[in-house]
Amino acid sequence: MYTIADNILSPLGETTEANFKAILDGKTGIHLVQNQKLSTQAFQGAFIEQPFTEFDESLTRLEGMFCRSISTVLDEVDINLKRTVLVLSSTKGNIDTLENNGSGIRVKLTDLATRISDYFNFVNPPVLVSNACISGVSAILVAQKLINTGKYDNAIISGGDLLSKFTLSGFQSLKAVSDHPCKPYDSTRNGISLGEGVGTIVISNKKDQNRNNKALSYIKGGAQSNDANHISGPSRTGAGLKLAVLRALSQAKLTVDEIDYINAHGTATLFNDEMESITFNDLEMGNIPLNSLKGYFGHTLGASGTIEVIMAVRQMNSNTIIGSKGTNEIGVTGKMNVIKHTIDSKIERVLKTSSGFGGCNAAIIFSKL
Amino acid sequence: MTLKISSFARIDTGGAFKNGELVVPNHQEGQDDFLLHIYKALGIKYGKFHKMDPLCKLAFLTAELLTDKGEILKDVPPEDIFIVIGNSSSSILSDTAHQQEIDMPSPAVFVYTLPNIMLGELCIKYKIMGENTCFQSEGYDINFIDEYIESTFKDTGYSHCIFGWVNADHNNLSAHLFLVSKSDDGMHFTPEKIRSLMNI
Repeated sequence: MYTIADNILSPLGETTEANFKAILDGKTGIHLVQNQKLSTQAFQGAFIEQPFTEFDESLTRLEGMFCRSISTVLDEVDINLKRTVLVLSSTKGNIDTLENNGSGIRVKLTDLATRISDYFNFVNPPVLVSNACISGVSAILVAQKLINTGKYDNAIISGGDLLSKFTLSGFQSLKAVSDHPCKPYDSTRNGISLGEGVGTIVISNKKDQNRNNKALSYIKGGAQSNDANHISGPSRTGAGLKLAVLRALSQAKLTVDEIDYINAHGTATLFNDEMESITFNDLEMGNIPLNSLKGYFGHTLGASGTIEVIMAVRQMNSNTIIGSKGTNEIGVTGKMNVIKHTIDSKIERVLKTSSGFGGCNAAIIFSKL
Repeated sequence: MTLKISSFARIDTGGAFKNGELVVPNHQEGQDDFLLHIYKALGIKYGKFHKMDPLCKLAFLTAELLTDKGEILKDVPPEDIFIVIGNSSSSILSDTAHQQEIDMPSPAVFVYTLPNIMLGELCIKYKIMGENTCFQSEGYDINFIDEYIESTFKDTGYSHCIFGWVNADHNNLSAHLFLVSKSDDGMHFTPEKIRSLMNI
């Protein structure tokens, strides 16, 4: 199974290339947001300030973002849509339209999925995965399974979420929002910066559909697990994440030392980053170059998995590891090789991990072709 | 060895059912009262129950019926079990509660504003460490879930799976859970069988 095309829509740009270039230039999407609709007080977040105008006005803001991103990838491939399934991932969908009485514009995730699918006249019913912050990686694993059943040859996987008052106020109530742009793995980290965006990936059992080599990779394997520990905090021991990584390695038939680079979750909360360090240390992966991209995109929730997978593949195909923005002095217990400044590094295989509320974890491995 | 359904449970406005038999009838007025009534009638003692939102309570109680309060799974290694649950209203009850108090939000409400939290609660109660996937669909797509589960059993060394449909909104609640395992005993795991057990 291959990744053959992709798109990232974020405050850093509307194409993967624009996003990658902005990051290489040291830019970040996180900035001081002053928007009364989101918060009475200014906060640090990766909010898309410029309005989208050209898109269908019958779509909500998030649906417009999804459709824009999916349209871009459809322009790049020539896949048979009858043999293609749309797999969406989102945690909160059109939550910005939710009213106090529970009504709103397609606040049901299934209605959002139907609207997007109808917009493109896709023939197969859409699938929607909602697994908290691992949703994007989950959606790729689900799509892979659906193709493996023989029913489909291709999948369009699109993860998206908004930076909304709903999620911002919630994370603030948990005291999980950083007062400065988030600092993954840093000794002074004190929480997440929220972000928003859409990441869309096309995967296929045929690689010849690919027209942009930078998006091309082989999906080696992946797995999902649960900590069975706590609904809103990660396991102290990293037991669940370890299980996901070990299962992904076993499915990919690889050993720990065959991984050249890890793109971790790195939300910049005390507990998440600490848990990851213990996990990679215990798995003897503490020397493998690792970064978190949250310092560029913020935490985009249901979009983070797909956006970060796309960036991980880009980094692999250009033999570059982006410096973890916000990391100055490492402040985690386990040994971790966090790359602070962008370096050239030969990468054949990359491991992407995510963890989320509900105690869920996911790991997936890609290799160069 | 093939995939067999070893038990099934259901909770809806008609009551709580285990393997098709009524265990707790519903004489209650509201959803909350009904869920608490089932909890008490089944003699469950689980402190975490009281902090859950109605969706998680519903999933938890149905799973308690399904697994004989966890007895059925107690000798199964945590990493050998996975969960796949479908839902159409996501976490709308907690979403609405959070929205109503958005200027003074409560973290205890916010943590339930994700539909996969109910899977997390089951993982904690029964020590389940395998995959847990929450699908959103308008109705329960039996063929899709059946195919997904079979392919997950094939790819990974899982021995047991809890799957089904758990949905709660302002007007209604409905849960159907099944336990399927690699076994010689039990009913064959087929979409037709599931459909007939769910009566749809």
